[in-house]
Amino acid sequence: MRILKRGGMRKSDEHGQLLLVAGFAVGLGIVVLTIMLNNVIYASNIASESSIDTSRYDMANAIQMTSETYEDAYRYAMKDGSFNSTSFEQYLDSYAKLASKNYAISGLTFNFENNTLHEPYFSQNGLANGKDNWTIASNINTTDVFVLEIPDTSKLGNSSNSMTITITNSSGFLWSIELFSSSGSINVTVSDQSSEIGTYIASSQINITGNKIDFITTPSPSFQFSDHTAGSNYSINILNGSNAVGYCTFAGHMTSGEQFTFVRHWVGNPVITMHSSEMRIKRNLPITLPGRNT
Amino acid sequence: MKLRNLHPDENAVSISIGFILTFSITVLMLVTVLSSFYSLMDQAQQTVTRDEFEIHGTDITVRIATIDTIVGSATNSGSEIMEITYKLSLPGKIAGKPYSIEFDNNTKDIVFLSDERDETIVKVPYYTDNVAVLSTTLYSLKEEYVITYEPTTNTIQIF
Repeated sequence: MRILKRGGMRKSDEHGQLLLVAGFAVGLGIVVLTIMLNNVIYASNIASESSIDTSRYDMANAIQMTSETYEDAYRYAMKDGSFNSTSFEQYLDSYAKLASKNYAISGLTFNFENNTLHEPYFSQNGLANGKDNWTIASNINTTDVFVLEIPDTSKLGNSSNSMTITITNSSGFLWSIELFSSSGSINVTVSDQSSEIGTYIASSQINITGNKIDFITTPSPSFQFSDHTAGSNYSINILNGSNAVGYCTFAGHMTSGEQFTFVRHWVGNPVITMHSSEMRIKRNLPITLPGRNT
Repeated sequence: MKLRNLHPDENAVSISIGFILTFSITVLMLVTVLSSFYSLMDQAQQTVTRDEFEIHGTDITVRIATIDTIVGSATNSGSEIMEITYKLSLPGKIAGKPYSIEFDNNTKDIVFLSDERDETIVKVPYYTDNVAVLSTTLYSLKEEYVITYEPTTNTIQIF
């Protein structure tokens, strides 16, 4: 600067300021750009999309589909009046193939292992280890069919662990039937809330709504089922269900006017396995046949 | 003596001292700017780490809740679950630091703790109705984990 002053070129020595200002501006620009770029890189690397998991819906879907297929297969196998196991197996095989193709599209393997049909217990899932005390249906207005059949009394509990079906409503107990094995026959005790209505001996079938034992009306059993349940909004409950093996049929109308049906002649227990790149689920699925949609 | 006369007098001005002064001021300024940048970056890293921990924690709680729901619905309907296994991939390092994930069965929390950073503890609560989660601690460098349901003990294990 001193040299410039001495040479008398004072005018041009202030041009450096512009360069300095431009330099600062460029520096500031670089800093701002760096910070912005940094944020962009952080934001794009943050894990946000990995939490979408639909496997539970796939599983629920598979369960619903398999249960309905079993019921359909049973209906198909029964179309000639008696159970045709070949048709039943064929129906399920073709379902297994179609379902696994269908799931393969969405990246899932679906495997379904059909087991033999089991004899039905009166427990919730129909298997020997199922829940003992459960409710078949609630909010019932009328029951038109109520039939129990116990073909093998050796699998029926004795008087200390008898199987009982009770009818209850919001105010309490209305009617009950207790079944236990006694020297090769079925001992039937029917009661209402205060007293015993009657005791009967049956060999296999008890038709409560039809007032029949072993398909006949003699010696005229009177279960008084509709007398005790008429006009109430009741539930049908089973107690000690795993102490009896047999078939049951319930049908009637709900308080809402809809029909309800529960028929159990067999219990299917297939194993379903689903597998994707990040999960694997294996479970069994007890299915009551013919089920609730007959 | 008038001040105006003093101004152009540069007899007491040393070029070297002027240079040293300018240089030290520049260095000081640079150091200040750099260190403020560094602390800014550090804070940004902690924020990002916490965000990432929360995201991954929520992801794990979703898996736990899924298993809990599947087990609950199966038990209610009388079915039996034989196996539920989920694969879980998490990054080995978040913001350049490895971390640990602790599952605490008593407080029902998933605790994320970044290595060497005390401020980045994140607790993500989970809730289960039908199963219990076994307490365990995972270290991030493994990267691939498995969440599995054990039907005999009715527990969820993560390893």
